[in-house]
Amino acid sequence: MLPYEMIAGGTFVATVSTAVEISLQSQAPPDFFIMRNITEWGLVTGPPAAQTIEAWWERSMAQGTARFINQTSSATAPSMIAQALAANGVFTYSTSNPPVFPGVAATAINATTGVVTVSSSATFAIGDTVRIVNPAGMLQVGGLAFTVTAIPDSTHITLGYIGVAGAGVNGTTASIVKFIPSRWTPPAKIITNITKATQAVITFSTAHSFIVGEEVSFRVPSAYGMDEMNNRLGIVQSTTISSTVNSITVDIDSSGFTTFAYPASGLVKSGPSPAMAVPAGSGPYPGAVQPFTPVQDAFDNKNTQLIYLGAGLFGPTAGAGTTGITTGDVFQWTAFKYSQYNGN
Amino acid sequence: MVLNSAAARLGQALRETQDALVRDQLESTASVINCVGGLNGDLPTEMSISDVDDVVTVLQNNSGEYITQMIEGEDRFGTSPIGDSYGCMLTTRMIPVLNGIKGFVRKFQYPNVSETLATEWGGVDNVRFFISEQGSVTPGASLLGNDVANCFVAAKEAYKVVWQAGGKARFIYLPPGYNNDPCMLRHTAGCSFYQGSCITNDLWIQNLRSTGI
Repeated sequence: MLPYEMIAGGTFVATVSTAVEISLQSQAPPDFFIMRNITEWGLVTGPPAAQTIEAWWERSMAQGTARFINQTSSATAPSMIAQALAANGVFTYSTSNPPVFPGVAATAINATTGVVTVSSSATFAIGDTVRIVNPAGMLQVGGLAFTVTAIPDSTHITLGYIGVAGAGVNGTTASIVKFIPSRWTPPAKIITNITKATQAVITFSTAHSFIVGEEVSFRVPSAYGMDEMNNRLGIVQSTTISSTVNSITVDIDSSGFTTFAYPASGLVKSGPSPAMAVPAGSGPYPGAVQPFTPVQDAFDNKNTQLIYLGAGLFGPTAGAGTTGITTGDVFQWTAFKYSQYNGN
Repeated sequence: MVLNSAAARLGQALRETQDALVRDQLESTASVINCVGGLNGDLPTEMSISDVDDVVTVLQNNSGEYITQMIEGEDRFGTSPIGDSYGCMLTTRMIPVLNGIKGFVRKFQYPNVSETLATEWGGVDNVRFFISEQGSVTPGASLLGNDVANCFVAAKEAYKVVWQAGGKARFIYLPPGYNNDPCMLRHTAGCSFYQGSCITNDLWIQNLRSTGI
């Protein structure tokens, strides 16, 4: 075997129902990928139920699929059962040229909580970025991107950073389209709320990467109320990212500004451009005794070749067509590139 | 001869990669203006003359300088003068939309084409349009789920590229015998470069989003 055929390898710790991203230093997409569960492999004293011990993907297979082996719960003589995963398995792609995903039908969007009723939540993972397409009754968020912050069950996802974008009226039918955003940093972000305060708090629809000390410029058309913020520069004083909050606090006193609000659904086709925050440079780090300017906010191309292991590979219950692991399991993985490929 | 040919292709790939990197950066970071003057019922709509005027107004309000100078009218049939202009970089998929804009002047209708680029498609009011098959398109990103063209309208010095000395472009050729090639069967050739990009003034670059492509 030529050594450059095995292009990368390593280990990771898995969490049940949580996807894993592996960034490849090699910018060539792998042809074959395999991962093995070190923790559960042949464990005779342990697993209370069947466990997935191996999964693999090969370039002739469809993206998002996988083949895997479940080890039965029998401690003394476990059987190994070959299985196939039809979706949410192994993907390989470059984040600068990502795959496109089909839309999933939605029937209700809660304007306050951001909970969306979908035909199936199986293809989504927490942290995914999705676009809401043609949401009836809620057109003001049509085409905008949101981060999936929770997946309550098999027919619901939560867009927890919806802020006031819902405009108080629930949406009905829509299509929810997952997509892979570019990783150029720092990216511009869609604003879902701005508070009226001595230091304004700005909430974004997708997880932001702004840092303390970064300079941010705002674009707020008059359709969103607080157009006093338009073209203003602010220096980030603090940032918060959690499952429910995704915001920055800036040194702009918005106390006397007009209240920020999304336009009503019926007004959207008159065409407001989105309210946005764009990176605008580095300011002095707030409160620093010796003044300095942060450099982590410099423009940086963080696009990379990825192996994306969907949450379907780390299911809670091993069975026919389903995987089962225990949170904390350590997986070994290896990626290969064929020197020669004689495919179909 | 074969190596020279490979070097030429690599040179093209290198320059296209450099363009793609700048494109990706502008796509991620530039301010957005939706086209709204079209008639297709989407948001954004297809680009119209009022949208071009809007983005020119925004850049003028932001003290953005024009990039190209006026092309004065001349006594030639079928030509039209072109005003001082900002530059718009966009996908070739926008060609039908551009041709449909009221008052759009194709490059061959300029009074003088001596100071134009091969990629220039034409101009209207104070914007000249430069097309590329690598222009930015966001799939399914409109209100109705249609593809959106990201048309970057730039004023002078809105963004820049930083080169590192010695790393602007490097051609790398290895003869047979390298990289686990004990039987000396394989040549390899490649290229590399270092590049940093940044927006120098976020008010001087606007992403005019359009559907209709």
